Amino acid sequence: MTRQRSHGVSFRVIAKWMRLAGVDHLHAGTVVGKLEGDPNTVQGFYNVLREPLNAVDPSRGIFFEQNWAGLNGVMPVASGGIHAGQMHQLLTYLGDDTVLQFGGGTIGHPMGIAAGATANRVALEAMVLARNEGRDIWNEGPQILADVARHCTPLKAALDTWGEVTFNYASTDTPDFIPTPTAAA
Amino acid sequence: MRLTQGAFSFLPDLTDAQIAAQIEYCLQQGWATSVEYTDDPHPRNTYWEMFGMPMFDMKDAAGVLQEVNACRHTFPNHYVRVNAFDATRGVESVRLSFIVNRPPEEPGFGLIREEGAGRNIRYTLGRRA
Amino acid sequence: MNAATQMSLEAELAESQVADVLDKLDAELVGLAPVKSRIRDICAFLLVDKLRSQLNLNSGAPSLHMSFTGNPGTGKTTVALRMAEILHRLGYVRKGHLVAVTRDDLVGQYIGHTAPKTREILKRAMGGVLFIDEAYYLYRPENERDYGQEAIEMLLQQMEDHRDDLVVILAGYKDRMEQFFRSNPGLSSRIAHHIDFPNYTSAELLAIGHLMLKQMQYTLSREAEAVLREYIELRQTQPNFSNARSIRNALDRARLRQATRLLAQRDKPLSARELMTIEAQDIRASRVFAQAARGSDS
Repeated sequence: MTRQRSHGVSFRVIAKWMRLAGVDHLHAGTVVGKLEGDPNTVQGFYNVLREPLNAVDPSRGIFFEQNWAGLNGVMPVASGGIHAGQMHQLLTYLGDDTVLQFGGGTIGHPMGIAAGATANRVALEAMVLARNEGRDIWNEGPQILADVARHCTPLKAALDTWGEVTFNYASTDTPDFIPTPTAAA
Repeated sequence: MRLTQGAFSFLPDLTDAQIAAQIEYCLQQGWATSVEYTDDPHPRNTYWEMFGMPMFDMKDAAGVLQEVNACRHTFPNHYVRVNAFDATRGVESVRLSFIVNRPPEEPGFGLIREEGAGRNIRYTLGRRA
Repeated sequence: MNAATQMSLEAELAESQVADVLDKLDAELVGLAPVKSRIRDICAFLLVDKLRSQLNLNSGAPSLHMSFTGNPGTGKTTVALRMAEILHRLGYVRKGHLVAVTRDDLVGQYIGHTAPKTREILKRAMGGVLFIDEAYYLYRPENERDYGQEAIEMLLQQMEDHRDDLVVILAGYKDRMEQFFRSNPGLSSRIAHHIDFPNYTSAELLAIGHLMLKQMQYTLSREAEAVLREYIELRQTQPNFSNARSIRNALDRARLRQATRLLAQRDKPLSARELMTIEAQDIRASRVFAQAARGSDS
């Protein structure tokens, strides 16, 4: 129902079921990876899985306030075509409590799998360090990665290989809610 | 062989200014910070010795940094780390933990193999000499 | 000073928003003229110092540690709190919180107890202001087993090493503080500003009383005001006078008597006005008048 409007079940509903069922991890979208994903909708899924209280947020697709009454959250998993060069976007969109899975982004590293893992870890640590210091990682992200890559050859190789890779196409995910301008606004 | 436990362990050693910035972030989030040290770098050694009590009412990173420096001064050849604990309902766990001091030489680990019955090999981690 | 630097001082003042803290100080604290003028001087100095450092003129970190001397109830703790806010707005103190302690918070009862206690307090005060009330109790030369000296030494160390992180304000009676500083020259040399808090005049105490009543939403009848004025004159001559605190206590007791008086007339309906007004007899019933009468008799 998320994409094909005429039938099916919205992923948001499936996410809520999984949380109620006590699931530990759930693949919930990457926004910037190879699979489709509209940023607001995906953040809506992550909020449904993680927050103790979902406030009404129509632009993220949350139409009803939901108090999860201490029910454990689900760890969302971001997997699918993400790579170290997108770390600033991943951290901004997806936040802290996430499992980031780099499959191709680790195994396809030109220097080997261990180097791939090192590159991803270094990129993440550098990005979290910068975010905690209060830097604007959305705009400075590429610069931060380039600075760290000077001391880390695996990361440099990763950025050289995939740095330019982005998946920019119009998403077939349409948001469920479009704010209509009212006379008051 | 650098110990890669905790956050930021793959990056070069943090400067005092960077440590203070991280502690400031933790205080802004309302997390309690504490300093721990150990001389045993084994990966399953989770519980390090506490250096003083966890600090719950701090407003500024300089106070915590004072504790960190006192620990580094007292135990210059131990691993020292800073933990940040989030006490909100449903979390109640350590949110950030990073090493702030390492011994000058880190020998690392070696694999110890032991042959058992039926040519079974049992592995364990041991300190390199 | 050319036009550019003139503009900047104005801008600095506006940016720091110190002006409204100073105005609030003027409005909410009665009297204390020498204190307020000294604080304005310090503000002006710090603003100019900031500007100088921006223009890379040699200024060095100004020493901000202070000593407030005066009788109890003269506003030392209140002004220390405002001082913390002012220093924070001027950018000399990072967080601007106030940690108020006395000797018992710093000094331990047995060997090894003092250092961790003092260290904890100092840690919490970093980035803000440490206010030590009755500071002279830290030093007890007559008792050689007293551990106050250790606390003083740790304080001195901290004041010197962490000038950018911590501001210390000591407070107490004037003569005892002077004696304390004489016996601890190291401490005295680190204090940049000694501010004396004079006793309030009767008129100022009356104004403080009015301010307190307004805050508590009470009013005085005209006769009650005259009685209060008389009360203040008499109370000042009696022992253990604590300035503003004594006024607050007196007003609290007057409120008690008003409540008793109203309860005695509980069959009558009461209006808001009666609930708010303190009458002359509520104040006249005070012991102070009886004691004064006895004093003049003997």
